[in-house]
Amino acid sequence: MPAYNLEPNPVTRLPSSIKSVFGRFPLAALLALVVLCLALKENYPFSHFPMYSSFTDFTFYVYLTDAEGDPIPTETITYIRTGKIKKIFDSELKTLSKDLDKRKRELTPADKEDAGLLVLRWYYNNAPSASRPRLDALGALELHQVDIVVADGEIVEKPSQRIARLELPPSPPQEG
Amino acid sequence: MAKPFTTPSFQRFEMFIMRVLLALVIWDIFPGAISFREQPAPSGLAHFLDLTFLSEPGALRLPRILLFLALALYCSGCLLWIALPVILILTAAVGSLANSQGAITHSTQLPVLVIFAQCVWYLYDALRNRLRKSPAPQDARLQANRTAAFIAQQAVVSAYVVTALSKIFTSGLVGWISDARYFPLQLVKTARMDYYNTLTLPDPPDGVLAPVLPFLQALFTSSTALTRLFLASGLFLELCAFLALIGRRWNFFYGALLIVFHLTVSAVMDLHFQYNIYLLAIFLLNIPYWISRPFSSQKA
Repeated sequence: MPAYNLEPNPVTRLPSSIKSVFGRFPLAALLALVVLCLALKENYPFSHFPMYSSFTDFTFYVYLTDAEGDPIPTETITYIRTGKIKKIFDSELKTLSKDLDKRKRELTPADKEDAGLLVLRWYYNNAPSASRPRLDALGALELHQVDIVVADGEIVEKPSQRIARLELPPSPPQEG
Repeated sequence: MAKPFTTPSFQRFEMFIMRVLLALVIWDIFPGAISFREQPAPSGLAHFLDLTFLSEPGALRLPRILLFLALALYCSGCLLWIALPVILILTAAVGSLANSQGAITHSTQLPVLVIFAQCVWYLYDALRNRLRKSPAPQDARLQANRTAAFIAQQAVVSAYVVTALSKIFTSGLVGWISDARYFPLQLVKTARMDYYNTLTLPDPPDGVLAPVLPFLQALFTSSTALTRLFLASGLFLELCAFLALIGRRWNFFYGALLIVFHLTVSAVMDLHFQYNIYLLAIFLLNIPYWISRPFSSQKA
């Protein structure tokens, strides 16, 4: 009678052990994905989906204007929504408020000018090529910010502040 | 009745329809062109690769052909361990570039997360079959596909649990509900930014929620207690989303609740998560099963 080795092969043992994990914990994939998403945060396709994870009595919105200060329809011209522009500006302000040790709402327009210019340059540089002539015809792009606060239990929109201005078309970088 | 939280006995036609519908979603999220020429705040694959070459004219032509072939393979259910990594890499590359601009959007993560989860599962399944050194029996392949569909359900649900946990970790459960009184500021902000997108006033609300929308908006701005109650119920709906995995009926009813939740958010806040709604419909509502159920001997 042949002698059989009844010890499981260490290689084939691996899949069966994983199988038993799924058997015992049928929601293992859910648990693993929750941990991965929370640990990796914003690393596509993972996300900890932090939107609206906190509310305060202060928020703001931004809009763009032409050289005369007249608002422009950002999405109509470039397919880029004001929400995206605001998010980029907001992430710059977070860095700035850490660097200057100020709350976001305490930053002055002068504090925010460089961040605003960066956002305007990003908007211009990442607009579809077909939109560039229309943007150039505006003469300049300005970023404006409006703070929304709660005062005496009422929602109040503060006067608009001009944050930055980018002349268009931008001058080519200087040589040397 | 099946044990709760176990893999449902998905039929072959259900899983085929799920794969075809997910493939259509993936095809829809894959852009024809990208205009981003920078990646100032790298996310995902952009940490390791400069993905800006994808914004060159015509750069997405070959990836689209590859994606089409991989999706066709995915729909057929063959060689999934080859098809899924291709789909994952291509979608993750364009999604990473779009989300590397310093402004994260959350519209397409969920479909790609489902692809990631199924990719890991089928790679493991292929490894398991290779180590077995014999073709997997037909029953084992059917069970592997059922597990993949259940994993897709878990991936969909995971996004809601994560969203709820993020709120709790950031603000605390009580703190978040207490601060919900400031939620109306967000409504004002969203309305203003929406106006500056096109410089046109929004169209009058339409759809199933149109009759209740003015009531909801008035409620949010007039009563902090009701605002808190409304938002807290949304938070608990997200936190308890794992209950959707109890069984077939829970799949359907919890999926329907989450779709109503999204439609409400969409109407009130102008935040549209259309791909989340599609995935909830594909993997939780699973209409083909309920249509076929009266004609099937196998019940929930």
